Amino acid sequence: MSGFDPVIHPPARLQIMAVLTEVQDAEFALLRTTTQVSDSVLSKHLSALVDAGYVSLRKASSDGRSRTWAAATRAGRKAFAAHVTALTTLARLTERLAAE
Amino acid sequence: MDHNSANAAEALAFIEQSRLRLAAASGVPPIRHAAFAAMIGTLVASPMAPGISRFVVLIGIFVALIAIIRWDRRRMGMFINGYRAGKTRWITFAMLGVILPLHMLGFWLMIDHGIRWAPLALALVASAIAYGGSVWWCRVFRRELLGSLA
Repeated sequence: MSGFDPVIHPPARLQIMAVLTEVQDAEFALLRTTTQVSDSVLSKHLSALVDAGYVSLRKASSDGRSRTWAAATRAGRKAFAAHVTALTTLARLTERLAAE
Repeated sequence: MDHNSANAAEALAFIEQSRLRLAAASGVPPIRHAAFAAMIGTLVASPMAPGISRFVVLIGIFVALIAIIRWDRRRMGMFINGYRAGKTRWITFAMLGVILPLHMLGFWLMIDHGIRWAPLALALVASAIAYGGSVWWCRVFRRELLGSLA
């Protein structure tokens, strides 16, 4: 299906992208809260999204602590929008088939 | 294709769940709206500042803007751009479309007509618009997040 992106599809990555496409950038802790996964799992998924060019990361110190901030790239926003459209089409198609 | 419809519906549910949590985390206190309104009010009132001090006021507004962005990031763990895509962008443009003419009107009334208090009066109007606009913006943002995808 056009627009379907296997890189974005795992649940945690969908949730990460759902947050990052709504904001300019988000801190690691906020992403952990919204995805409800462990630090290591979140790091793994973020790395995959960075490798695909969908997310960029930066370190910034605040209150004497180093924090990681993530932002969706232009390519990431485009890929996520296309993926959501593909999912919506697929879900509606099945609903229609089930109703017939 | 290894994905089926149930998978698609489930994936959309994951996204909605994430947006729900984001909406819960994006609460904005009244003082944040007030800080934005004060910044806009100061901008519209700035023509009243004499000579070089007008530039000091403008630099102060720029510093306040940076402070607000830092405050948002510290408070919520994220920054939401006012120009983000979606219905909220129109609210931002509508606010700009009202506030910038008010700013220019203040200049014009003070310089061409000698009404020195005009920028202050217009600043009060601009502050009220900015406060209301900020509250409205946040409501629309939350409504967008809580809206269904399917």
